[in-house]
Parts: sequence; structure tokens; C-alpha cells
Amino acid sequence: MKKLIILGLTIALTSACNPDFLDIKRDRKQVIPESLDDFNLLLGDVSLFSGSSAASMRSAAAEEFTLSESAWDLITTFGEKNAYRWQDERFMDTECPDWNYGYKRILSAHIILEGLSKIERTGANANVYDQVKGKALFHRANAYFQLASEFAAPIGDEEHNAYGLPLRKSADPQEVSIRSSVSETYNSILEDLLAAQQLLGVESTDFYQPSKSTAYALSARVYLAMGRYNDALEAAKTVLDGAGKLLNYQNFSASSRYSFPSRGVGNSEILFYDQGYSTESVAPTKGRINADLITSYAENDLRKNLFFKLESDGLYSYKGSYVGSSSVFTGLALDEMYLIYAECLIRAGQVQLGLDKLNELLVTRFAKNTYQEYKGLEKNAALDLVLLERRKQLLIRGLRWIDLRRFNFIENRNIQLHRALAGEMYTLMAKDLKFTFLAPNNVIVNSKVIQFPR
Amino acid sequence: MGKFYIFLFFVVSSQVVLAQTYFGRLIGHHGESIRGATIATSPDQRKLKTDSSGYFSFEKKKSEQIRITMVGYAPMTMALGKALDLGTIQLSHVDNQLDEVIVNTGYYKLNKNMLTGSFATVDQKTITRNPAGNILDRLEGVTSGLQFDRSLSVGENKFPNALRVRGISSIESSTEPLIILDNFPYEGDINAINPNDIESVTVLKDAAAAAIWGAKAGNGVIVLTSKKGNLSTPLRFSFQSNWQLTKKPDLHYNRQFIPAKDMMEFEEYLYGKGNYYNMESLYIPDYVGLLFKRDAKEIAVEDFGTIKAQMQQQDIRQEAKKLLYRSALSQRYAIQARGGAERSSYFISGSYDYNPQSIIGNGDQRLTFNIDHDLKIGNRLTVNTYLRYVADKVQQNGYRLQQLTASGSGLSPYVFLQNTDGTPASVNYQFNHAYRDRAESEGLLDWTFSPLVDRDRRDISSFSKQLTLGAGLNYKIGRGFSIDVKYRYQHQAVKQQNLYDADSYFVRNLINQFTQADGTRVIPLGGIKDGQNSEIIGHNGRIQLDYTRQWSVEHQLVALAGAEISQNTLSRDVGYRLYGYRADNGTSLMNLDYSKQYTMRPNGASVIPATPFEERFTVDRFISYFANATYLLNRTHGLSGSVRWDASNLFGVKTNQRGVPLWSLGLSEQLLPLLGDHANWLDKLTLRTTYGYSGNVNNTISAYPSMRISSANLTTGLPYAKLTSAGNPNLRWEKLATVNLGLDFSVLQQRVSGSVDYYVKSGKDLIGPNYLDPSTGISPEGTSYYIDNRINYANLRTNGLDLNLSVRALQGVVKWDINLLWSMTKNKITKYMANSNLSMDQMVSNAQPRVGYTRDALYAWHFNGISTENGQLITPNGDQEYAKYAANATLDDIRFMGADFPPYQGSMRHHIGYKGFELSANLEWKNGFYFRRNTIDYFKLFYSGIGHQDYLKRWQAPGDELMTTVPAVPATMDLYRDALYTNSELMIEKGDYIRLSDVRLSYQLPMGKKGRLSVFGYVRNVGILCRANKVGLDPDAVAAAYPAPRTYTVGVQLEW
Repeated sequence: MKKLIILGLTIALTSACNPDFLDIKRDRKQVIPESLDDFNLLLGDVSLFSGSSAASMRSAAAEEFTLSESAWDLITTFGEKNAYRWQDERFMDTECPDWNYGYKRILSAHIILEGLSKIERTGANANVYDQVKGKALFHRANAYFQLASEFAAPIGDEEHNAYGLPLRKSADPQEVSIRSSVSETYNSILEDLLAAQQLLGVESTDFYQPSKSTAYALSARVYLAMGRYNDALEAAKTVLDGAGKLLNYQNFSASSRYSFPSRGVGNSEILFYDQGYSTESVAPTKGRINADLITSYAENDLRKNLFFKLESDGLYSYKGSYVGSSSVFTGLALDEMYLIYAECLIRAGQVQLGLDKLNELLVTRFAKNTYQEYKGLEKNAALDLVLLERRKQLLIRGLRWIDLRRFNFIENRNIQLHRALAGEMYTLMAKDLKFTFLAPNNVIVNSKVIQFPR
Repeated sequence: MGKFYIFLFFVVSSQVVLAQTYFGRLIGHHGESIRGATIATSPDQRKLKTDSSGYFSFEKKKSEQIRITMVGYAPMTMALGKALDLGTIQLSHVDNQLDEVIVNTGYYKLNKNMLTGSFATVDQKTITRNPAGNILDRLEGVTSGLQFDRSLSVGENKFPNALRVRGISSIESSTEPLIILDNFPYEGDINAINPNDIESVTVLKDAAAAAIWGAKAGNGVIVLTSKKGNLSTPLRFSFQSNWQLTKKPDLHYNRQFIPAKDMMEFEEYLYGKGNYYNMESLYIPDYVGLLFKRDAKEIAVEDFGTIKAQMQQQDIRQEAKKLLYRSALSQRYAIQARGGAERSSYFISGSYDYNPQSIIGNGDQRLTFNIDHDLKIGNRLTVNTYLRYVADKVQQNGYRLQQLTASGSGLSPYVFLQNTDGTPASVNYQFNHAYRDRAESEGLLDWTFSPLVDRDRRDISSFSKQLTLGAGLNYKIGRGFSIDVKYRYQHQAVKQQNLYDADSYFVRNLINQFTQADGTRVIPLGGIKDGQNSEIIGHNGRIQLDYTRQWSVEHQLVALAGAEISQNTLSRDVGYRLYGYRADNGTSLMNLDYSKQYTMRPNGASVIPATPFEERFTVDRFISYFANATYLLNRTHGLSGSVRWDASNLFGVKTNQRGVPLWSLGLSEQLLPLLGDHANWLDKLTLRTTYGYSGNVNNTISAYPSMRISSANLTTGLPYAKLTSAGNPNLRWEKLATVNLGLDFSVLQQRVSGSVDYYVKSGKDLIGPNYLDPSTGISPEGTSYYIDNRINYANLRTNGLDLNLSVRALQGVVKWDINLLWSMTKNKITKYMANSNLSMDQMVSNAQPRVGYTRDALYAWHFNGISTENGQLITPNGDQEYAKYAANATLDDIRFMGADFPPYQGSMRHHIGYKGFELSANLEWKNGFYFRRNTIDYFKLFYSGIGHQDYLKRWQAPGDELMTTVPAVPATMDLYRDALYTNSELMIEKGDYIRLSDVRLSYQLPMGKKGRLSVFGYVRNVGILCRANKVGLDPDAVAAAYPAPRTYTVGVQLEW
């Protein structure tokens, strides 16, 4: 008996020692991302890569709409509240969502890129491998560009070229952030986009997954912001040469609460879907579109009724977001490509070609058979026209702020912004330092990032 | 020492022989000397005691017989004969006597006098005293070192009472103690245990006690031991039944309420300011909707006046009390049979509980069955088998007061549940009234919501069944060795089933939301049924070698070593949802297109949810090796030690960090022999001391980057994953070192007995959040971190004192027992390694660890009064620049107000018995702590319509500042201002209170020879006798909508 027991004990103890027993994964849903499938699942997180872009501060600051005192009072996000009047008081909740959401995308992109470097690219997996890598690079570039538009010094402001974004080198939280220069920041964005253009496929399952033309579309936007109009022209041309179809605004009803389908369902103009995580101020309950903008739309311009709603206070709220709700659309759409292409053609001296492209777009924005094509304008008038149409078509997309920085710092157009709130006047000078938002305090405290001067 | 006594004895006895002296020695079952036993002679009625070696002697005189009594031993009567040498008299042990408690740690049982560690035991009588249906509830206020934190309930969301065994030893990880049922960790729902089946409860409080449970024992261990039958005892039945009446909750307790008239005035003020936006679907309060209607001339002036007047008269709380709540009557029945033949014994029990809840439409039922059998085969082998089965059903159909709005806004005080004619009213629920009322004319379904009707149109039930099978073999090898093999299988199946009738709000709302612009219905008419099944399967196995040996009186050794293996699998299926469901024939419609994105009303787009649930599958595996030994020298010097090594499959923990070795050492010393015979009044004095390590498992942290997969995204309809951790290769398990010093005493023939324990617990490498540069991508969304930011960030030192005192004040016809429990627990952060990036506002609203301060710290802003001019708050700087003040504040600007967890807790239970009557009452008190009461937060009032009765006391005109501290209604919103006020020192209240927790009266009727019938009445939550705060708050229900209502129970206990 005793021997039996000792034998039993031995078996029990040694079998328990078998290391396989403890090697089982604890949670089937909790995974260490290692395979291409895993990375594709991460790329499927649309609420991260397409649902929470960093746009609330630049939307509020770009002077496209005004807020009544009580509407301003009802805004809960301090960043947005302060950006509206170009003040930079330290936020009470020290988190700055615009900064945070941007860098969340970058972290996930890094996890994917670092994971890819541990997988061998073989003949069998090359296609998927390249797609995954291209998408991760695209998302990184997109996030850095959005962040740079708010927190890096404007291009053209040579004096502050040292104030670029902190460019993270890895997913490691131990890595200490340090600012790169503005040129390094944009070079990195372009480098990612060039690589993504090569890696990504022509086809895409839906507008949440970037394709080759999406990468070109973002390049066009970035080049334009940098004042590299010829490069922007080329990139926009590549996009326009591909698939994609303009919406015909005649097919939309102005009586709907929001004029365009929710979440862009069936919107053929959308190349890449992205929306701001939250922008309280442009919601129809608060924001009122500037009167000068409203009056710039012709009576037969369908956008006047599709984009705006006359409220009981006699002012207009915005309802034309491609998100189909009060959220800001920050993705890439075909209309923007038309406008970039037209602008760059005009700048390059091909004025009529540019006007033709503009006409091609605008005819879909007007009531049937009422559109009068633009012809024979001289270059400056044509440029003014295309820039105004850009403003009218692409409003409330977070792009105006980027344009204003370009106009003031690269083109010296000397545009000043003014705002009245609660009996106080606020002015943003053309080359105001406040065209760059301060880095959040919790970044300054916990890293080597130097605060932008004031 | 011993020689000296023997010498003394010979000296004494040689003298008394001449004087006709009886002498002898008293020993116990194991041959141990019995010191301090009482020997009473009769008829001459003298009393004497045995000495430290058990010897005694007395003069013959007229004595004819003696009666020997000693607690823990059976009394013995002995006739005196001619022989003066009475020899060695052996007394037999009696269990369940005071101080002779057998402590069960789940691995071994030890007589209490062999223990070096700190244990609290709760005996059968105390367990039965409180008739609660949940075993843990029965331990409140009667268990030394076990603290209940009831302050976690917010609003009407009741969280289970958080338990703390001797305070906290962790910061962010769970502080819940490990619960052991019949030797293995219990993983299921604590409500599934029938308290009538529990014989005793042991709480393992220090390292020596808990180290045997290793990595899971850092928060203390509660060991539940089930009842069993005894060999060679006749069959006995017992039956218990009780009816418990729970009073309606006090809905007026919640101070976050503004009466209708005042609320309407305020809403009209905001309306005038243009703060409401009348958008077609957006929720607005009823009265604001009425104002819009008035100004749009959609309602006649006189009708407006009538409705307004009706609203002003309304108080939703009164109506809710009548229509949503009830006095709930619970019924509980339990029966047991136990007995045993020569070689086998059994225990069989069953119970049924029916508990309707105070909220109409909610309730639960529980059925349990339990059979336990022991069989002795030969002289060496004992086989134990048991089966337990529990089935319960929980129904949640009702609507609580706070569920009457789904808009995220506060409930309007003037909401009507019934129309004037008594029919159920349509309550302003989710969308604008106008939008909702227009629905039918636009071809949509009726979109109104009436809670009184809707609770009957849904059946939200959860059914759970739990089966536990256990088997154990114990084989005595001989020479003190025995081998013990145990196995337990546990299967818990939970079926969640939600059935919504075709006309329920849930169905109508979903159908309407998915009705397309052209009127096509994407969601078919008919009911909706959805549900999910989940299962927990546990296997636990243990093999253990025990060794018990007593060489002589001097040496006694109890040792064990063994290994344990366990696997716990939780699987929850992805669930289902059936559209167009018909309950009468069980059919549903399958022709839905789940791939297409549909536009939703009033806005948004989504695919049709195929199932609202997520699949889940986890496996927890543990392997442990353990050994424990206790050695007792001369029955006075004790030494104990234990080691344990745990390893598990915890996700992402690097292989070399998987296992963790833990150990403990303990010493005990009987001090009585050292004191000699001078301290005759002392019956017992034992000093115990232990030191050791236990651990705290945190299975949510990861050393590697990790992501969580979700099965479907409602936007794309495709599976996706979210990053949950960027990886932290340096993570270690939390470790806890405990020192315990204890003294057990008993004086005056056990009239007064008790223990005092002092302990220090040092938690090292505690896991908690780090504040990172958000450029790492790790930053909060709202207040939650979805990507892990935890590191080993702090050390925490907890020290305290547990006092336990029993006094048997009267022992005659009237019996009076007093049990006193008192504990002191304090903790302090000793090291903090995380980045500090806190604004003072965050520190005040949610205190973060700070070196030198308690983890339970409560901070507040200085209060500097309100302005005479505008009634607004004045900052400590004397100005009204709130943002500036808050932004520039440092730790010097906020005040440390004290701890928000009571460091001192006590309870005193009196028990008076007279003939068949027994009356007992338990007083509980907590002191030395503070809490933050709520007040009017204008931001919440402006934004969500959440009011507070302090609003009525606000500053309204100059001069008011002399009477009130409540600021005036501000013209504009300022979060800083509200934060500075609501978190000011003004809101901090002293928490101290004394509560009469319960009173019990029982009467035992004589009934035949062996039968017993007793009836009892029991009142729980009798009331607070005195409290330090002046605002009338119950410190255990600060954030709760109402305190636990009083309950009245009557019941019978029958035995035959």
C-alpha cells in the first residue's frame, strides 16, 4: 500500500510539473498581436482609426462659425472652449483629447509595424504583409499630419522650425518624447505616405481601409498644406484618374435633419472615412455659421439648403457633414481632390484647365441645368474663385485652420481673425504665435518636449 | 521547572498523607497535563484547582465524591473510596466548547491551542443568529477583523458590500478575500450557498494562517465549512423557516432633488436664457417642452396654466413609492437530516427561498439540495462523497425611480406615472415629446413609454444552476502518516434570457429606430428574444500527506505536504437574438439582412445587431505545492512554518515570473507555566507571533503588448481588435509581508476570555496606474484607460489591532453573555513610484496615493465664503478667478481631511437568556472617518437637470451670505467654480456613528425528549442611535439613493 501511495504521489506531482499545462492561453479573446491576422484585426478598429480624429481645437479656432454666450457656456471640453477664443489657459482636466487621440493611433500603428518586423515577408504572405504595412504607415501619417496642424509650428515660420512634433520611434512607453523639427515632422509624414503608396493595393473593401488612392489623396492634402503645389497636383491627379464618383446634390433632400447619409453609407465621394471624436461647438444646438459665408452661396446653389438650416434665432446651423450627424468629417473625399487639383492647375498657370475641373465639381452642386460654367478668368481671379469655392465646399472639416496657416505663413496673405464673446473682442493676428496650440501640460511634465513660446 | 513541581508535590504530599489527603493527576486525551481544572468536593462543597502539571490534592474531611470540570473537557464525577491515591485521571475532550475551537484552514484542522497565527471563528450559533439568505451578510458585525464597506453603492445601483480583511493590502487590485468552501476556493456566486448548510466560518487573518493559500491569500481568506453527519448518532431532522418583511425604501433620503415648483422656475429661467434647443428628437424636460409650445402658440393659455399647475403639485417620489415600490415579503424554508451508523454518516439538506424585491417586478428564488456522506472501510480508509445542487432564478423586470429617463438627464420632479384618470401615463423618456408623439402619424409605431405597463411587457430573467460533486479519500498509513486525496468538480450554468413583447417599449423603439425614410421596417413586427448562456467548470484536485505524531507529553508534531492542481474554465457563448419572436409557438423571422448598414432614426447608422452579446472564454490554471508543520514542545512552546509555491497560466506574465514562492513562520508560547501558581485567576495566557508572505494575483496585467478581440463592429459588421496593452516587461506579482503578534487570554474560570492581535502588513510592488506622457499613446478616455498604464507603483503599510472579548456576565437562571469586537486599521503609502501629473482638482475629487498619507485619504479645497455682492464663491485668494486658482493650486492649497474608511470599528453583542427566552442585540460603531456629502452642482443642474435640495438654501439677495453658504445661481457655467465648491471642506462630514444593527428575540418551547421548537423574531437595520454628521446622512449610504431599509423577520426552528 505504501509503495502504491508513493507511486501515486510521484505521478501526481510530476504530471503537474508538465509545463504544457500552464502554457495554455488564459483568455481566448486576449491576444498578443503577432500574426498578420492579428494586425488586420487591429486595423479593423474603426473607432480608433476612423472615429476619433484630432480636430476639435482647430475646428473651433478656424472662425467658420460663431457661438452665442450661452452656447459657448454649454461646451464642456476646455480645449475646445479656449480654442474658440484663442486663449490657452491650462485645461482643468489636464487631458488634451486632440493630442491623446492622435497619439493613440500612432501607438497602434507602431505595435503593428514592430510586429511586422518580426515576421518574415515570404512569397505566400507578401500581398497581405504589404497591405498591413501600408495601412499602418498611412494611419501614422494621417495622425501625425492632424497633430502637426495643431501642435507643430506652421510651415513657413522659419523662426520656430524647431517646434515640430515629438516623433515616436517605437511602441515602448519608456521612450522619452522629444520634439523633432517641423521639417523632420513633415518629412516623416511624406516618407510614410510614399511607402504606403507603393505598398497599398488599388482595391479596398470599404472606405475605412486605406488603398493606394487614399494614400495619394492624403499626400495631396499634405503637399498643399506645405505649399508644394506641383507635388499636390500630381498626387491629386493620380486620385482623380482612379475610381470614385462625385455625388449629385440634386439627389438629396434638404428637409432631412442631416442632408447626407449617416456614417457616409453609400457616399461615393468618400475616399477615406474619418470623423472628429467630438466637436461640441459645431452641433446645430450651438454653432451658427458666419453670415458672410452664407451669403456667398448663390440662390440656385443646392449647398445653401443642404449644408445649412435656418434656426429659430434667425441664424444658420450646419447640417452638411458627410458623417451624416453633427460630427465633423475629417476624412478624405473626392470633392477636396477636385479643389486641390483645380487650385494647383491655376497656380501652375493652367487656368482654364483648372476652371474646367472646378466646373466639373460645381455642376453637381447646383440645381439642375442652372449652373453657369466659369470661363476665361485671369489667373488671380481664378485663384480667388477656387479658394472661395474651397471654403464653401470644404467647410467644417478641420481644413480651414490648415488653410489659414498656409495663407498666412507661406503666402503672407495677412488674414486676421476676430471674435466677440461676452462683450470681449478677441483677435488672432496673421502671424500670431497662437496659430500653434500649446503642447498639453502633461506632455511637458512627463517628457523632454519643450513648450511652444507665447 | 517541572522537576521543581514534582519536588514540591512530594513535599506537599508527604505532609498530607498524615492528614488523610486524596491526591492524583489530571491528564487529557493526548496525555497532556490539565492545568487549572476545577475540582469540587461534595457534600462539603470545597473547590480547588489542579496545578500546572495537572496534580491536585485535598484533605479528606467529609468528602464523598468530586466533580471535575474543565472547559474543553467533559465534566467527570468520581466517588471517593478508601484509596487516597486517585491515580492518573483522564478527561475526554469535548468539541465546540469555548476556546476549544477546531480551526479549519482548508488544508488542515487544528485545535486552537496549537495555532500560532491569527484566526477568527464564527460558530454555528452566531451563524444562525442572523437569518439572512447570504452567508457573508450573516458575518457582518460578528467577525473579528472583517470589515464591510457599504459605502460603494451609488444611487440605486447596489454593489455587493466590499469586504476587507484587516484593511487593505492592495491599491488597484482586488481587495476581496479568498472564499473557501469545503477545502477548495469557491468560484461561483456567493448567493448560491445555502447558509443553513454552513457549520462554521474561519477567517484566516495573518501570514501564518493564510500563507498556506499562497498567491491568492493576500486579502485574507474566509473558510466556510459545511455541516456533516456524525458516526453512530441517531437520525435527526431540523427545519427552519422564516418570513422577512423589507420596508419600502425611503425615497426622500436622496438629497439630489429639487421640488417641482422650484425646478420649473429654474427651467423657465434657463429657457429664457436660450439654453434649450428645441430640436426634433432631442430630449428636453417636459416643462420646457410646454414653454416651447406656449410660445409657438400650439397650446391655449388656459391649458398651459392647468398643466403647469398640475406639474407644480406633483412629487414623483410620492407616486413612485406607491407605484414602483412595495414592501417585500421574503419566505425561506430549509430542512436537514443528519445521522450516522457505525461505519457511515450522512447529512442531507434542502432549502427554498423566495425573495421578491422592493422594486415591483424584481425578485429571485433559490432552491438548494445537498448530500454529504462519509464511509469508513476497514480501520484505515474513509471515503467522503458529496453532491450539492443549487438552482436560482433572478427576475429584473421592474423600473426604479432612477430608470425613468433614458436620456442621460436627471429625472424631472414633476413627471407623472399615472394620468389623472388613473391610466398609466407616458413618461418623458428618451426623445423629445413632440418627436415621439408625431411617430404614429408618420407611419411609425407608438413610441411612448409607460413604466407601469412596460414592466409587464418584458421578462428579463437569469436562471442559474450549479452542481458540485466532491470526493475524498483518507487513508491512515500508520505511524502517524495518512494520505488524503480530494477532488472537486463544479459546474455552474447561467442562462440569461430576455423576452420583450411585441408591444414593449424596447421592441417598438428598435423597430422605429430602424424604420427607413420610405417607411420600410427593417426590424420585423413581433417580439424580441435574446439571451446568452454561460458556464463555469472547475476541477480541483489535491493530494496531501499528513503526519501527526505525539512522542510523549513533550513532543507533538502535525505536518503536511502536498500538491494541488486546478483548472477553471469560463465560457460565455456569443448569445442570440431572435426578431419577430412569437412566444406562443416559438417561431422567429430569419430573413433579415445583417450585412447592410441602415440609417437609423433620429440619427446614426448601424447594421442590425445579430446579437448584443460578446463571446468569452477564459481558462485559469494553477499548480501549487505546499507544506506546513506545527510542533509543540511540552504543550507550551509552539513552532509553525509553511511554504507554498504557486504557478499559473496568467496571460502575458513571463515564464520565469509565473511562479512565486511564499512562506511563513510562527511561534507560540503558553505563558501560564512561567507565571507559576501566583496567577491562579488566569486560566490561559498564550502569546503568538508570526511572520510571512502571501501574494495577490492580478490576472489582468500583461508583460507583452496585447489586444482584445471583439466579434463584430456595428459599423462594419466585421470582427476587430482593440489594443489593451503596450506591454510592460517589468511587471511583478504583488507581495504582502505580514507580522502578527497575538495574545489569547482567559480569566476567572473562563468568565472573561478573548484575544488581542497586533499586526503590520507591508504590501510591496503594488500594481497601479502610472501617468504617462500621452505621446506614448497611453492616456485616458474620460476617466478610463483602455490601454493598460499599470506598473508596480507603490508600497503600502497597514497596521492594526483586533480585540476580541467575551464576558459571561451571568451564568445562573438568567444568562448574560457579552461579546465585544473592536478593531483599529490604519494604512499609509510608504513608497510611490508613478509619475505625478495630477491637478489638485483631480487629487481632491479622486485622491491618488501620496507618500506618508493613507490610501483612503480625503482631500478638500479651502472654503472662503461667498461674496456679498453676487453670492458667488470666493476663492481662498479672495477673488473670483476660479480657473486661475485651481490651475495654480499645489498640495499646500488642499486640505487633508482624514480617512474615508473607518479606522476604528467595533461591535458589542449582548445575549440574555432566561428559561426558554433569549434576547440578543448587536450594536455596531465606526469612528475616526469622514465622508463627502453631495451638494448643488450648478454645472450638473444646467447641463443634465440634476438638482440638489441645497438649491433651496442658495444665496438670492445681499445679506443672504449671513445665513447660507450655498452660492447663488451663476450667470454662466464654470466647472472650476463648481468643483471648488462641491469639493470644499464644507462638504466633509465626520462619519462616526453608532448603529443598532439588529435585535433578536427567540423562545424555545419544550417538546418531547429530543425535539426542540423555537420561534424567533428578528429586526435588522434597526437604526442609527447617534451620528456625528448634522445633515442626517447614513455614513454607509452617502452616495446611495437610500440606506438599506429595515427588515422584520419571524421564523421557526424545529428539531426532532
